[in-house]
Amino acid sequence: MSSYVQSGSLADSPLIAELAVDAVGLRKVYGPTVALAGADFQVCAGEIHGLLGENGAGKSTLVRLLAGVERSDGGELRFFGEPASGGPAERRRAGLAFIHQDLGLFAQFSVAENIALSSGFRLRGKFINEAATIARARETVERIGFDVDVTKPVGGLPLADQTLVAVCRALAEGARLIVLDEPTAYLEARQVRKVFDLLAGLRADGVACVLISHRSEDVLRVCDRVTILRDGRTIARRGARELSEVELIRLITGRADASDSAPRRPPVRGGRPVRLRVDALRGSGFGPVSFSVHEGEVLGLCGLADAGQFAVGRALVGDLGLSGGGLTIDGSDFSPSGVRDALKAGIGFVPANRAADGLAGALTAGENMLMSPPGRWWQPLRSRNEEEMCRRLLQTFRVAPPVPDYQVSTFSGGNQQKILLAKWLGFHRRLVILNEPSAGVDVGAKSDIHKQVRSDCENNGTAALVISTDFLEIVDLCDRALVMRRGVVVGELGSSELHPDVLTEMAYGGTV
Amino acid sequence: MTAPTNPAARTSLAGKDAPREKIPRALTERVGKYGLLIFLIVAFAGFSLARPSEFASWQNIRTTLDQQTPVIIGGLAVMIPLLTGEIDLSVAANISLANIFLAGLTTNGHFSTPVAVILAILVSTAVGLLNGLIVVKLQVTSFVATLGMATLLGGIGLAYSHSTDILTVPSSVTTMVRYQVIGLPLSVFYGFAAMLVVGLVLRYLPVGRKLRAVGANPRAAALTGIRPGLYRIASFTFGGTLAGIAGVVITGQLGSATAAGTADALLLPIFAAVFLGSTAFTPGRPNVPGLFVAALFLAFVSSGLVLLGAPLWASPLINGAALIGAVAFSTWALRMQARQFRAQQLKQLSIEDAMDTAAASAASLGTTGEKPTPSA
Repeated sequence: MSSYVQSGSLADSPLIAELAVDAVGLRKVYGPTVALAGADFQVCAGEIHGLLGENGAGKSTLVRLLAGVERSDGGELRFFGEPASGGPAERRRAGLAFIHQDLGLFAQFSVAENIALSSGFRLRGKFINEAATIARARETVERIGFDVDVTKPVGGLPLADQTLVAVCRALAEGARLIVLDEPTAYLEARQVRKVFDLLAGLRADGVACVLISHRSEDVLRVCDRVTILRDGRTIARRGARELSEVELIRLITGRADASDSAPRRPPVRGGRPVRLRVDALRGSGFGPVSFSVHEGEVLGLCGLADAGQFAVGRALVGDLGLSGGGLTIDGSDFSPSGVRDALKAGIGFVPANRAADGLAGALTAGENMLMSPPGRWWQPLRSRNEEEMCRRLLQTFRVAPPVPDYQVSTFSGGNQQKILLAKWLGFHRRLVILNEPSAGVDVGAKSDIHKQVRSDCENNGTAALVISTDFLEIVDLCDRALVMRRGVVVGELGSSELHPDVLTEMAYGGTV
Repeated sequence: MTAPTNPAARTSLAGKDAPREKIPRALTERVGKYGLLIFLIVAFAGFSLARPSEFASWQNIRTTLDQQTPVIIGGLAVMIPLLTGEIDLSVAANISLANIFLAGLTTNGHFSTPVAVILAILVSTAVGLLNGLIVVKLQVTSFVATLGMATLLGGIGLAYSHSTDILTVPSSVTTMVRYQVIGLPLSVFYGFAAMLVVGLVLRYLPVGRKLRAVGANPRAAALTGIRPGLYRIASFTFGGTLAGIAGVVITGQLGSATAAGTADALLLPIFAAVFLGSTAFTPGRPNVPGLFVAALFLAFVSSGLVLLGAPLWASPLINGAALIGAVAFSTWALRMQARQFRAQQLKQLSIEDAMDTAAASAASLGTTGEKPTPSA
């Protein structure tokens, strides 16, 4: 509790007594996983409060408990002095609003209509009073000094303004606590400033604001205080003014000094030819980016979710347009105009979202692995050979059961991921681009996947580019890693320097 | 974030589970696969017992096969776009268009029969191509595009025929379809040939799998180098060709053409046969044998009930109910499959949990120096 006293802005505030959120010892267990192990979280009325932590630290679980989407397994939760009760609807009525990355706005409707849809239209008799509805929306946006034409459709506004419309909608509903989950993840610096400037205006209204963000410098600039979660516990509560960025990152990652890491793997690059050379590549959301991947090498390309690494991967296979730069594969120029070109050049692309982009759940494992069978169109499928080949691959990847005839949707998530990787690793490609290769799979499947990727690279000379936000995975899997931040490569780590904390620090923009 | 599991234990568990679940799974699978075939046999046997002289005759089988040929070929025309996830509601109107064109060209246009047949099929093919282009290039959902196309084609048919029916086509057209070989009219052979070609292509050539991949996950297909748009356009186009063939067959069978759309009433029987057929053999997937069995089943039930004295409105009632029932059954089967799968996973998770706690307690007992009891 001592941190309250230290915090400058709160001492000035007359509302110091009222706690918008008062959570003590919150616990939440999902099956065998402890998501929250006694987290404390206090937010005063009229303050902007940052909530920080690594992936899996418990931020989203805490938000779910606050929103009433899930019940806690222990601990006490109060809002504005009242014990929390009921589900999401009751919480909303009690003045809580949650704004997620998907803002939940209706793009074709005007700002005024979006606001009125949740807080109620002004009526004349039984009919909507257009003028009064617009006037009320105007009142709301002016309350935070937001300059926008409320009759314009929301879809045409810049993303920052859409975020602010969502804030206004919450205010019109009478929200006294607004939780913003990564509101600035996809915004440019100038837009971020606009959002934060207007959020600062909420203080005077006595509205509390919880800001969840990966961008530590933004958090320090706008927040009054921050709470840092790690492994489901509250690690620190500090006034933002007393923290430096470096300190903040140390608190988030939880290790005093990140740079003393043990060398893991000897460098494998010695004398191997370059497989892919990327020269000053530029595209939407990234650039310029330059690097090269060698034969048999596993190169990591990591960063926070919005750092641009996924766009680089898609650009390499021609799925996103390039605006500049050059590519060579095995020394010859390569400019993919589409995925087919990339496939012809021997590049495989494993998408991050297996359900949406990777696998067809209604087809069998074998059909997925040989979705586009080799050979000319008039050559019949050789089902016996094919089944034999798929079965062997499934066995190599330790898919259980290794039956190519089963529908993909009947396999568990980890096995589906293995099938997806088998589809791309199993057929001797020159380069595979792996997006989040072990997203959402259990520990056993993860180690199987890593083993297969490494053995494919070591035995067949395949080059692998692993694109991920999971720094532990990068360290486990890669020979070398590049860290991206805001669209550019900010650092390169060789095998002897790879350490999750170093990667995290670089990704957040700290100095090592 | 995930359960700490021992991969070796997991695979051995799965191995142990496999034979136990095999028996009920195989049984339900077989019932699902061959249920429709059994229904067909039961229906035929039942009506044959009730009306032996009229129903259980070669004559009845031959007539039914002949009458169902346009439905079967039309069903193939629907099935191909359906595999890519697109619906073609213009199929019946397209058959009618080929019908009126063929009749018109041979009667009033003075074209020789083979040329007229080819022209009619080409017109229907062009309609299919247009459907595909509208759906893929103009991004109109296939439901709307082909619904509009169906009405539009009706208008073209009326305009072409000046709203007058063509009551007699040259005998060369009817002979081409009605001529009997080994006791069956040629139309039946055309139907079987179409089924054979489409069935073999879909089953044994890569294109069949690619079509299904486009339907199951276009984005995954595109990342595998398949062009979803191209496959959609091609499937609509080939569907148009088949509709044209069905139109030729129906012209020969009837020997006439109606300005208002001879085959328009076939739309529902066609869709009923396709959807009911997709519940059989490869449940959840439209397939050629299923289409054939379903078309015969629906035809036998309709004609059988009429023979038993049911009123004429029984037939549309059965077709409509079969269409809704087949789709409802398919989605229900998918839901049941998902539920079964979830229960199985939960069971495995709890087994793993139990094993983990057992291992943990064994380990803790070990450290205190006590012997772990087997019951733990």
